[in-house]
Amino acid sequence: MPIRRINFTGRRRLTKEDVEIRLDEDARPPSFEVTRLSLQRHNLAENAQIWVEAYRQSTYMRFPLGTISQPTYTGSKSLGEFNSPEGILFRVKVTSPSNPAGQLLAEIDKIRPEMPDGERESLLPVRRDDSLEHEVFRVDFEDRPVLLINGRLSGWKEISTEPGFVALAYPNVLRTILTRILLVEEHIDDMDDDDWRSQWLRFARSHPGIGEVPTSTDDSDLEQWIEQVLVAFCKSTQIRNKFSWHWNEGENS
Amino acid sequence: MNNTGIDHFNQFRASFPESGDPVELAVLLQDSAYSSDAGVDIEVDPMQFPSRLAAGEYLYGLFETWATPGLDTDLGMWTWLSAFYFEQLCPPNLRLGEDARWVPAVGDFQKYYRHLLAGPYQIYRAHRDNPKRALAVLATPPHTPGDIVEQLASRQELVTNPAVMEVATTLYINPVTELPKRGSAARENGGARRLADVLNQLDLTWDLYALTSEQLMALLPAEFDRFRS
Repeated sequence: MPIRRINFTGRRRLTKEDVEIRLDEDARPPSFEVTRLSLQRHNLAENAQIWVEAYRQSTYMRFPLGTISQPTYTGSKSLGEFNSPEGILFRVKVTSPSNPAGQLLAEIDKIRPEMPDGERESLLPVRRDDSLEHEVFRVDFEDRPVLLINGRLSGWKEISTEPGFVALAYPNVLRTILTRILLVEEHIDDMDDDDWRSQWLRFARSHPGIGEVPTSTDDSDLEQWIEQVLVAFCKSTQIRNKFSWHWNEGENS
Repeated sequence: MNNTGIDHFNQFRASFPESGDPVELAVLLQDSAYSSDAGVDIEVDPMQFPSRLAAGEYLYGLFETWATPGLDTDLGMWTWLSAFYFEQLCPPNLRLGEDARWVPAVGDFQKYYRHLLAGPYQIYRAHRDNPKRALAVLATPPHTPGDIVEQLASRQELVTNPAVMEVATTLYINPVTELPKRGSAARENGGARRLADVLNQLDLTWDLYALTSEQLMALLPAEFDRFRS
């Protein structure tokens, strides 16, 4: 059963269908372009102002994109405050110009830019983390799940696809993420395209034999569903075979 | 500082103050086994920073001079600087606190700002046109950031916003002494934690970046009146 959300503020919620941003990672400094801005269906005031904000940690830039009736979003915009393109996120806001000025009318936050070749970021991005000390990997939930690999390990990028690592780590990563979604955040809605939790629940449901997310509030029902997903995931991705291959390779080397 | 150096610096802090020979730190800073050439030719001065503002200003000047992209987000560089200024970053009670104060938590903004040098530097850089507007989160000594920093600096939307920083500084910093007012770190009655809560609420309804500090101040409830003067 989808969760019903109540919006007390009256603010419209923009979606990824309304806005698309492309980031040019090769430019120095990086630059971006708003490649789609389609807000007509939200019935916003014609003189409402549109803004796009780029941010990462304490670095922030803001650009005007005109008004609803006269948007001016085309063209490349230089992100001169950012000395590298990694991890830059965007938000788009529509605000009232008067009576009262600055009121938030519509917004979408945490927009991940499209790459120049149109490639989208995966469901589980893998990033290097140099602060992991003695851990090999960790799932980070700051924004959405990211698999952090200890950057002090040589070949950290290759580790994420190495069969032995995949066999031992990924089932636990999946269990950690689903437990977080269902038992910690108590989120059971799998219909919201913009919500990473819904995306992960849909991924879980896509495995053979997995039914709807239980609507029960009983933790044991949810834990049982997670275990069913794990079994189906390990079967469909041949986790045991991956581990055997890794193990036998090790013996033969 | 390379990975081996960072490991040794972590061990040094773990055994501090029972052991923790200053000579050991000097070796970490200079020995090529622990620190490597950053490829820039600028001297870091062994100076004392009376405030986070002074630290941010000095470090901003350094990185501007170096003008090497990515150096100001480099884990090894910030760890080296922490070790270099270890003595003054060490609080009077000798409790060194969590790792993020010394080795920046790269990729985690809610902890990254806790680094005792990278935090002030990032805030100074964000407000370099008028750094004193952010005095609310830059007034304290580098070794003791304080609760106002904890409440306001962990939210990107707040710490980068000129109006929010101006309001926080007006509320919580004595304009004569340039130090936090009494009670500013309180959890209730208009203290910094309440300001963070109220701003989080206002952020749902208002484009905080579009507001002036006067407009934002006018939106705050009466509980903040005692700090307005």
